[in-house]
Amino acid sequence: MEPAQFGIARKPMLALAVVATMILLVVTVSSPIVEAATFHIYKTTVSPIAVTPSSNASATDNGLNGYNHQICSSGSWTKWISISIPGHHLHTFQSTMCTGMGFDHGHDNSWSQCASLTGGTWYAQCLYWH
Amino acid sequence: MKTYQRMVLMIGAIVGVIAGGFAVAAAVTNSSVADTDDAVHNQVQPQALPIGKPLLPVTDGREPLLFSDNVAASDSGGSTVTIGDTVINVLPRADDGSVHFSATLAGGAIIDGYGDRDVIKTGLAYIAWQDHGGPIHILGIVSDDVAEVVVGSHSIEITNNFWYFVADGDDDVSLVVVRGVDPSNVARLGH
Repeated sequence: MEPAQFGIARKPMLALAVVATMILLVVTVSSPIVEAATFHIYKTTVSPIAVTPSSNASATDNGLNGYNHQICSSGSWTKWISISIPGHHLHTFQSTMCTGMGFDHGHDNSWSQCASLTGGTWYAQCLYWH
Repeated sequence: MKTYQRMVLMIGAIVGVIAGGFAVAAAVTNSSVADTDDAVHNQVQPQALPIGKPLLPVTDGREPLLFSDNVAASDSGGSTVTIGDTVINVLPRADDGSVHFSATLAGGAIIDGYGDRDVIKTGLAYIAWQDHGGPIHILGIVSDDVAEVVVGSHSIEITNNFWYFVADGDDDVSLVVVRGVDPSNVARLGH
């Protein structure tokens, strides 16, 4: 009786194994399709943010599609941030608030710059993502 | 080992493998922080461009607190504010009094940010942006006691604490914000 019972039970186990393998394949294959945003912090709050005409700048990167100020000093100082290519600011952003902007398209061979347009000592973390 | 024990073990193993697969997938899809200051110090820095002309007149960081910080749009669990093609989701007021919102613009761009209590009290809480040297877009947030917002010579309608205006690069974008209960209380930017 024992071999027969095992033989009968083996079929559902095989079916379960096949289903599990298919689920794993779907999970494994589909996960790279969901592109994860990668954030690049290029200005931390360890030191004050640059004040115009100076600015903090990231390295050149591909596919930039967003930028942000965060962890900002409180107050109404004017924050400025951009996505730029040689000779041209593609997207500039200016605010009294601690904000950021994401785009529906990326920008190759570009970088981000951030600064305070208000004189004084202010702190913020500047980052971009793609 | 009995048959039912084999099946229990097999099912347990399969569930474990599936859960592990999901955990790996979740880890892969999570956002990550790639670089810090220390990392980018070792990379080649681009030639930073001059900032150029500010989009709006610049604050001096010592603007007087003329207005309240009451923002009805962030009360009672937040709200959705629509101005033209712009949809603004306003979150409930944060513990520190800041107003957090996310604005989805025509074309799909998204602005995410927060106005801290003291910036809202100045009446000068705004975001301005310019794409490819085109028009200047301005999105502002004001407290409940603000009665009027004027950009240049244009009186701007306030919709549930938000206002929005598009200006050409050469337009006068000086800003005047007037308190309703006391019109002598006026915040100015660029005057």
